[in-house]
Amino acid sequence: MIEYLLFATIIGLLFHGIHRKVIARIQGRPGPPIWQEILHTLKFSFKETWIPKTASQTLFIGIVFVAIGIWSGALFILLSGGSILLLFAVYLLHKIVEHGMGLSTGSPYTKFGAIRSVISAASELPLLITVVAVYFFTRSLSIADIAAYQEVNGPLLIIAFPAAVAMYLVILSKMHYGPFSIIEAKEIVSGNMTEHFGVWRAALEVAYALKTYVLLYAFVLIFIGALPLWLTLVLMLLVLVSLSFICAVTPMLSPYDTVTIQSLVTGALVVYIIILGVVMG
Amino acid sequence: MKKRNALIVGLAAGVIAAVAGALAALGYLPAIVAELVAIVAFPVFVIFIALWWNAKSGEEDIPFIGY
Repeated sequence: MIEYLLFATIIGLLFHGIHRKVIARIQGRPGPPIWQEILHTLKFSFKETWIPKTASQTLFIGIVFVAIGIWSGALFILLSGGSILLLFAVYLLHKIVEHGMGLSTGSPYTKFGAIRSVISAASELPLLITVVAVYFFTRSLSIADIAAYQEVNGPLLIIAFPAAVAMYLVILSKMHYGPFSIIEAKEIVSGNMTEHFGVWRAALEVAYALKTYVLLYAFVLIFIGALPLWLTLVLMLLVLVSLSFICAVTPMLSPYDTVTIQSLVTGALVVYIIILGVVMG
Repeated sequence: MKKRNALIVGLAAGVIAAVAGALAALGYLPAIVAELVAIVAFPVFVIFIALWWNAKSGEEDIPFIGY
């Protein structure tokens, strides 16, 4: 089991490196090597590690364990073909992690990050809409059943395209350097992660690598289907590159614009769900 | 926590997760149990191994609490 987690961590870190590389190339910069995020994580693990005097020690450290734990759990939910509702629950727990991380330190910068995490809760709603739309078509919330449905009826990416757009937006909301990355914006240093340095930051990089791997894997699994590993990885890479392109050409929005756009998209998708409900009974 | 203790905890977590995975593969343990063990053990493995190689070899307490 631990081998899956190590594999997902390394691939996730490589994806982060590719994400940075693609953004840099689109912006006309050479960019770092694609293995930069692996080096970055190792670098942090060698840096001096401390707990701020103003921090709640238990929460400050505990939240790092929880961050890795929940995304490890999410990976196993996908691998075992579990329910997408559980995946949704993990995503909501991640919101609590972001918030708890920011509030645990006593630093004003991290608190701003935590507050921004709460006000951007609208980014979670498209995932709920994805769950509802997928259920309308497949009549099941089990990932194994959804994959089986797609083997017979073709990819949900085509059948339920707006739901795929909703999940795509969810993943975009969680990408580094994206238009919705307000919780780690530079005007608040590194946002809610500012005080987590050294080993704690290295562990968070591991958690975020798992998160990226899981979200991309979930997208391919739910909207394209269960495929051989190599093909799944290629498709995950293609989705990532498209996300990187958006991140490269879109400036980071202000917190209120972020919420406005996410709410408008959610509203449009709610209309889609209502129409789907009327049409499909 | 001393450097050696961090290594012991980190290695123990890694070994427990690996053994649980092996037992599940051999059919001696339900897969869900092995997964739960891995979910708990993996963060411990990552953080304590990093604390181990981060730590100095002296008698200092790690991580440093104080600024």
